[in-house]
Amino acid sequence: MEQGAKWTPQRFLQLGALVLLAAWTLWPLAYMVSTSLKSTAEVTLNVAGMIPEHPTLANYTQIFQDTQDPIGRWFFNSAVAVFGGTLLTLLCASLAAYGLSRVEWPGRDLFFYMILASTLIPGITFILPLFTEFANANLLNTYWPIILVYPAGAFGVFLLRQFYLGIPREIEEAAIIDGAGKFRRWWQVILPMTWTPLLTLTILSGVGIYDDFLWPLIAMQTKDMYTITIGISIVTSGAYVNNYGPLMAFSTVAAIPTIVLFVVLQRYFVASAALSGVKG
Amino acid sequence: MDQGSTPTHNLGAAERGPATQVGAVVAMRGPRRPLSVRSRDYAGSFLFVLPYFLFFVAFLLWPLVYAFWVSLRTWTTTGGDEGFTGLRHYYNLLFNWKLDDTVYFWQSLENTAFFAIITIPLLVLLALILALLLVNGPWRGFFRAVFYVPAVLSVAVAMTVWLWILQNGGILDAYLHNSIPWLIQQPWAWVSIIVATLWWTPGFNMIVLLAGLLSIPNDYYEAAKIDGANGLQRIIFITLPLLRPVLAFVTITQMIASFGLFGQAFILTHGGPGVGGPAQSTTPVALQMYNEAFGTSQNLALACAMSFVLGVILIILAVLQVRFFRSTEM
Repeated sequence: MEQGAKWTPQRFLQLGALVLLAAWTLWPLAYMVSTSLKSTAEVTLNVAGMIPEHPTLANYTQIFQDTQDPIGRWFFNSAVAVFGGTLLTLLCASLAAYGLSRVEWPGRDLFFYMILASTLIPGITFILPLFTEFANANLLNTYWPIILVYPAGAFGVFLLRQFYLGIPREIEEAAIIDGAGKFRRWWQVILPMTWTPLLTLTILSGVGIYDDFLWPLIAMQTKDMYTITIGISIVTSGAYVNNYGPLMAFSTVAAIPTIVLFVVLQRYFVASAALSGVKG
Repeated sequence: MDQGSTPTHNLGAAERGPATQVGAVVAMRGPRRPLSVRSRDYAGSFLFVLPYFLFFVAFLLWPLVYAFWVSLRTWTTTGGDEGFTGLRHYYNLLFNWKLDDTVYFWQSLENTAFFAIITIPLLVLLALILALLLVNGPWRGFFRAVFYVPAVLSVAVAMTVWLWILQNGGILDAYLHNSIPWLIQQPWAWVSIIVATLWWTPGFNMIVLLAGLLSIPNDYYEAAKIDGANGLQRIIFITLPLLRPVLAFVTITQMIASFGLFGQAFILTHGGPGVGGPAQSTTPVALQMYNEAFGTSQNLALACAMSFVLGVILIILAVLQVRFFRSTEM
């Protein structure tokens, strides 16, 4: 059934179910925004009211002026991790994907299977080993742990390699005749042809780093080095405990970047998730 | 993966859906030769892999080796190295279940297994229902986007919102005109964690399953329709068998995500409560590891040993699942 499908009773039923499930998905978010716009008094008096009776931005002013819990600084820290980690991921993954698909060297397949085997080890296993390593190097509570660990993940390599494998050899051969070396062929032939998966990887990596919780929680020890996600979890049981007006303002502000990115670049999110499961 | 999840290093992915690495394992083709351009410049070719290789060694292989060495010693988080103890931590974890530290490890493992056994089928089933409703439903793009939105949120944001919903005197209590101890008494504490998880993570599974559904040729359904199969029969005899590899992938990644449960318990229940169940009755194994290393005992060596025991258990479970899906192939 495509767009112009007939409105049978079954289809109305289907629509009803979809609407119900969408409502269930959206109502916590609706309360997040609505509570953030209520005054402290209204939060306790008008708990379940979806529309604030006297909307106010007081909670937002409060959290942005709070010097004890510096939300601006936390955003900056998250941005450093997101941009640093994503840039390194893209660079390492696209180079490695080329090196593992379109050129040959002894030990290539061995390395490929090593990376493949490493993906069997669940992420949770790495958390304390990484902590131990960074503690030993005296690099906890700096930007290095939240930038450097992400490019080591194999997902980007596999994703891009899958695309590089699909490019016919003839395309590169034309460049060889023009005298292009390997590096130029990667940069000028392969990369421009695969900007879609590259953008997909950018989004996945960026959102993944922005949302990451356990690793920055362990790697960062002072308030000025928290990322935004750690900041929220700390004020939830700290300065703003049981003070849900500012807490929901916090959550709204922290949710905005990924939600906006998702709405704008939806098809790349969808493509990436689909690729990870179905391809091959 | 974020699961969730973090599709990159699979750290955050531990606790949400997108543990995408496994997808790579399930989906990957082996290396193929004929694409490669012939060249004897092996060193130049290896240079491409070198940056990733350095990261791979430094932040994947080396930490495992180093932490294994730490787990063989007496090593506290603040005090550092205090000498060799051999396999004592592993012995205690595996055979000395009654020690102060190890008893909680096994309890947390039990808690995590409980959470996993409940959430794996629910999250796969819910995602499958969403995907089936979407595949030929009205306004597919719009609803797909709506259902995926919670999955782009950090666990910290998602759970702070649910904290407000479930709080004593929070939104749910206001709806019910009643005060139910959602977060501070069992069995409600588990109900809360599970419901919040069901809200947060099905998006990833749904998108993967939907992509699988869309790849099934329409002809099969047309043929079945002509043979007189009704909707349910078409789902059972066409959709599910053809969806099997995708279902296997989703189930395995969901298992790893569910066993990585951390943020929900950390924020919603703090691993408690003791009321209506044993103390730490919602402490998952990741939180127990965190507490072991950073709580009162500061026992980093034992916590590292726990990581490895958990890692081995999860690998065994994943292998068993792959076998299961292969052996029951039709």
